[in-house]
Amino acid sequence: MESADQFKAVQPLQYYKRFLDQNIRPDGRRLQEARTTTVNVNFCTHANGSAMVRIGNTTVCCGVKAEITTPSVTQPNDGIIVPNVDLPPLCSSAIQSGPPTDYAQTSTKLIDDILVSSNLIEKKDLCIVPSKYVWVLYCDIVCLDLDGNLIDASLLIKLPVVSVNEKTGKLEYDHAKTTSLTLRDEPIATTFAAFDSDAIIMDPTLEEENLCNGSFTITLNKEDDICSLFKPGGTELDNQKLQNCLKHCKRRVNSVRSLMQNAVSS
Amino acid sequence: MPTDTKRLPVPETSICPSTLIEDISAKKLPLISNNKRRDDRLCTQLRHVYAKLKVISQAQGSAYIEIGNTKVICSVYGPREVKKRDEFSMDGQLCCDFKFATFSCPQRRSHLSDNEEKELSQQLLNALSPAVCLNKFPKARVEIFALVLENDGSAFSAAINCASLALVDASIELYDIPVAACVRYDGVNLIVDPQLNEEYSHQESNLSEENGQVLVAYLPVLKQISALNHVGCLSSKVLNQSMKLCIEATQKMHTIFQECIKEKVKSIMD
Amino acid sequence: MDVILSKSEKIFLTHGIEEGIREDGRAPDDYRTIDLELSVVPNANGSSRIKLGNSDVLAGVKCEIGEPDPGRPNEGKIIFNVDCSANAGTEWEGRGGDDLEIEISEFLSKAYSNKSCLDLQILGLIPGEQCWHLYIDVLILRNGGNILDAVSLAVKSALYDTEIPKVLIKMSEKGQSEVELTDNPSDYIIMSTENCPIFVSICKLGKGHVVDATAKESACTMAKIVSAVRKDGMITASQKKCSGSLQESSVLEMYEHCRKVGMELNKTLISKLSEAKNAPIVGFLA
Repeated sequence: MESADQFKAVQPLQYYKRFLDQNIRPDGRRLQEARTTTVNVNFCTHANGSAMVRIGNTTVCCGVKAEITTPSVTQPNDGIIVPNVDLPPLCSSAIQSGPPTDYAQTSTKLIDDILVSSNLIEKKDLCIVPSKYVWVLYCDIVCLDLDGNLIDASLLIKLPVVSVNEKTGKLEYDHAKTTSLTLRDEPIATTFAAFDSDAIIMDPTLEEENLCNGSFTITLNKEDDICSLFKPGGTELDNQKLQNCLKHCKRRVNSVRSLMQNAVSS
Repeated sequence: MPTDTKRLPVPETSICPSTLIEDISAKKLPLISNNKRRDDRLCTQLRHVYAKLKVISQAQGSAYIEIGNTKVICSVYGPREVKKRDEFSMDGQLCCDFKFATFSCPQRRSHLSDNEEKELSQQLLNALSPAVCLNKFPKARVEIFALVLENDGSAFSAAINCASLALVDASIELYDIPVAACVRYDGVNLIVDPQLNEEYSHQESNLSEENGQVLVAYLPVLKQISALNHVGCLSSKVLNQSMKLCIEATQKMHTIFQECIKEKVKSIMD
Repeated sequence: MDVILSKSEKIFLTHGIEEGIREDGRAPDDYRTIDLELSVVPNANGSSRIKLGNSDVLAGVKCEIGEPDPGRPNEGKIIFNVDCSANAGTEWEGRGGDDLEIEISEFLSKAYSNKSCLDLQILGLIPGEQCWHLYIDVLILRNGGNILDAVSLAVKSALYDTEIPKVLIKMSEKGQSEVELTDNPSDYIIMSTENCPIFVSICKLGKGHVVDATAKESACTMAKIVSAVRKDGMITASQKKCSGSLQESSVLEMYEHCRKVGMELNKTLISKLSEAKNAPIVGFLA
């Protein structure tokens, strides 16, 4: 047993490859198996909508706060959605306090892009009085425990959050009239990591993310169409592999979707 | 307002809808009626406490605590080496960071720490440092991060409690476990562990002359006070009484935490 | 601030204090000489300079018209800002003084948050629309120990010195109210500062405790209690500082001590303020 630990410490990549050759991962998962995922909605009473998602050890929580603001001149009918991914120093030893890290910034941008491309929330729905008042939704995503696969977890959050988002009031002093926001879509992301020996694994842990030579994230919408594919560098990926991943991705998305429906309805 | 180039642009101003609706009903209610508080508790009754150790896989030690609806998560990293040479000291250093999550309070908070959070970080340090055996890790520092996920009153005392549990979880040597509690005085009654609508706020208009809130962090075994903080106008008599009540409350909390730690140790042994 | 003392020097000081003897010959609850001067900054609405032993603090009050808080439409606002001058020492260069600045300004706003301290109603102009904002800026010129107490004395004196111009509220043609300054520059209101708290810091060294610690004494302090005391002995804010812990009985003892000293100091300050108001301005080159 001890020698296995030593082997892992000295040659982590070799150690992993031994496992991958046997079509299994060190934590006992198959290559295309995700970690246990739990979704929990409405944990925070002060937020208009909130959710907490765990994928294995990775824990992410998100609170949405709706506030009233004036719209931009060019788009007087559109509400504003501001996502932000925060990786506080609390969540990992690798992060020091200070301005957001590059990783947090790319994650924020990716989520923003997916929000726009999937048309999750119709911005016109957020309009109160054209060119005067619109809602601004601050979607703040805080990572509490960083153990790989942040993006997937973050995106999962979006959905339950916004679906329970309540809106209050019509004009300024109008009293509580709450309507929930209709969601146009359900984007769900799945991240894969590629090792150079043709092995592609789903839902990598932090350890696996650090070892692999490239990862990519596929986001599917309600109709199982790809609404975003994010691949920041790494090894090349041929069409066949991609198709293969897509298949696994669809399977994963279905299971996640039912998880979320359960969480929201309970 | 400094612009934040590392985050997506936000609208310059926005109003929280809850500020527009004047919440008269809750504020006019007396803190106590028929010996019961707004949430049916007795004056000295604590809210339900739930605590869990080891919630963050990446941290040396971590803890999560729920007191009523107040939720705080805390992680401890270290001892790590001190990078800057001028910070050299033969005693270990503690470094605390206290933060409210942006969505934790009725008003949205900024991503950047405001003065209140910076000041509370400093107070957290003052509350914890008497309990930590700093001489055990010379030339190194221990970092403590506390994040309030939801503030429903007494958030800071929950953070102190959470941080001490996280220190225990991180196996940092301690002289004692600091436990904190809050007491609010409304001119007539002293109530323990106030929730958000019972907390002292100078914003409230119809306050009587004598009014305030006291926070005590106590080292129950050493019988020492490690932090003391009060706002609002109080006479020394009331101050003494509330301190005593705080200490009583911390002792109740302490037994809960002892159970929690015992369970944790048991699970390691098995 | 950064006084480096050896272990034996610390023991020497601490033992002295346990016997009731301090390095400069004061009794445990004696303050150092306080120099007070009012109206030192002609451009401010009110200002004061306090020298407490080696500590030197300048406070200025500026009035501006702004919007009131939505929750309190009839009241003005006070905003504290503390600045540690880098002239005072190398440790405050750059961002070095930030922590202390925040600590002091937060404690000031806490201590003044109680409405019994300062009547904010008279700062209200047009309910919900306009009110006076009092910007109270404190500049710490030199740190010779016990900065907090010196700051509170300076703030109270500066508020005493503050003259807020009287304004007339007129209805404009459109039916909106407008604020207009009176023509007479000597027409102003003065706030009552009777109830403003002053801070008393008590340091615990060994078994004894002292007020108004010098820089050396601060370096030996294990624990300190700061309380904001009003002239009637009510405490509007208090805090334990430094890294040590305290027994319950000694906390009570220190509170009682704070209260006694605070009431005494308040009385002295109030009587001296009226004298200082009429005294000639000496300024910084004295």
